[in-house]
Amino acid sequence: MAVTRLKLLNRQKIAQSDIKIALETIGKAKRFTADLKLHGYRLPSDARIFVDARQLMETIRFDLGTVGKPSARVARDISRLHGERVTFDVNVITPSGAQKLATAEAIRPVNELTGAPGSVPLLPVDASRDLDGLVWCIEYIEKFGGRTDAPVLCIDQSAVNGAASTFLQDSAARALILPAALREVLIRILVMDEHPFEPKSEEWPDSWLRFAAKLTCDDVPSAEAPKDDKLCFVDQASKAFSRQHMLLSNFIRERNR
Amino acid sequence: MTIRRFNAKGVQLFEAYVLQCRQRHKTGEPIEPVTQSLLTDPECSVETHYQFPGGAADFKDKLSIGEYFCRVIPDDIHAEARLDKELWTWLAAYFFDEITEGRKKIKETRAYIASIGFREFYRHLLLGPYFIYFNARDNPDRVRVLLYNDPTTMNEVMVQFGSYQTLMQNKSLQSVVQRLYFDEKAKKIKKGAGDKVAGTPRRLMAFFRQIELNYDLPSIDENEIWNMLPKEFQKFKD
Repeated sequence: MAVTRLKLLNRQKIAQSDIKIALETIGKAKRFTADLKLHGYRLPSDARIFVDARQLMETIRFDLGTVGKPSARVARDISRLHGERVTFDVNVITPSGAQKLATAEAIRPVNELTGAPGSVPLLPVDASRDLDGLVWCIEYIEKFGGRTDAPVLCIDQSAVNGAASTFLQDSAARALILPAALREVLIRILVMDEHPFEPKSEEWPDSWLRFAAKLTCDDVPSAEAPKDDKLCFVDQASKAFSRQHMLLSNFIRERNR
Repeated sequence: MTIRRFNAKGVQLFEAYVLQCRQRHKTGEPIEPVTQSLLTDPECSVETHYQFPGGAADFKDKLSIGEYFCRVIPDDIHAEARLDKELWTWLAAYFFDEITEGRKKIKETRAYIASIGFREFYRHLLLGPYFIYFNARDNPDRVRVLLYNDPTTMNEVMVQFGSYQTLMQNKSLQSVVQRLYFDEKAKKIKKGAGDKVAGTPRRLMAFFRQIELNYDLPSIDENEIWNMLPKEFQKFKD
């Protein structure tokens, strides 16, 4: 028996390009600042803005004022969220009541581990935990309504030996982990979730599929495509990634040194 | 007494012990208690800053487990302690007899070997109750429906909502779940709440997921949510 489905009530999607969240980490202290460009969304000036910072089992909510009178751009403390993997949801709510007028979910701060300044990393790295015997794994945070948060490449904290940022510069680690990780994420998107590709969407699965299409110079299989076609596309993307980054030759060269 | 935290070797040895217990439980062989050396050997664990409170622990239900560990761990250390899976795994070893009904009910390893992922944490027989209780410590009766069982039992409401992050920090949702499914007279979940049919926790979860697309749940109070519930929940409202 299915629950009666509610349709989205004119809720707008805030483009990732209109949100800039910067995270500053100094020792155990962690603060963020948020820049939101909401003027293009025709939202009521008294609509309320909330930003939720999430990490593992905890969420901290911040009231950022209203669309017409946003609160001052100040650094907000989220030190009690431990670990490197913090994501942010932005919700614009009706002035009275609780209807969502515009949202953006699972926004990553721009200066995470693997990201160049000003960029949003496709696969952030988290090396803050031990993985119960695994060297690496891909983790997702399940969101509501069956949607998932973007994938994170988790590496065992003892495997990185205190140097998470340099771990993936090792040619063996890159060659053995990255193509397999790419493969796993694409299978999740195409085969398990049967995600319908939207070329202009800023959602994380679409960003991944755009990346894969660029690698393969091929079209992304539709959600209805046969499973074999999807797996073939994933296979091509994984191999193309390895070739373009010369993972095999670099691995052999380093090994023979 | 000072509480300890396992290291990797300690976790490994305890996990092997749990697996052996499960095997012996199946074959009916006697199960030995956790050895003192596993709990105190410096090669397996280190001391923490936490102390056991005075008096014996009485874990008659999950609520009492949550209450007990809220006395062990200072509120300002909660954010750190809830992620310390080696600590919770050592505690499960220390209280193994209490949380297995004297080694008679041996569950899967995740009930004793703590994991901090939100899909797993609530399955741990000590960390789960502690985390839920901590978040409702101003009025634990709000989450009684999740924590009323004995330590070894996981009821349907807990199974459905244990991994629902929103519920853990939303007092209104907690109150709705409590009002809907807890029988205050019988002190257990209402008859039929463990089923999978209309109006049950599984369906409430689906309803929350749906309305969350359009409504900001932290901005809605308990009575508003209560009044938004579809007709199928009427039988548990009455």
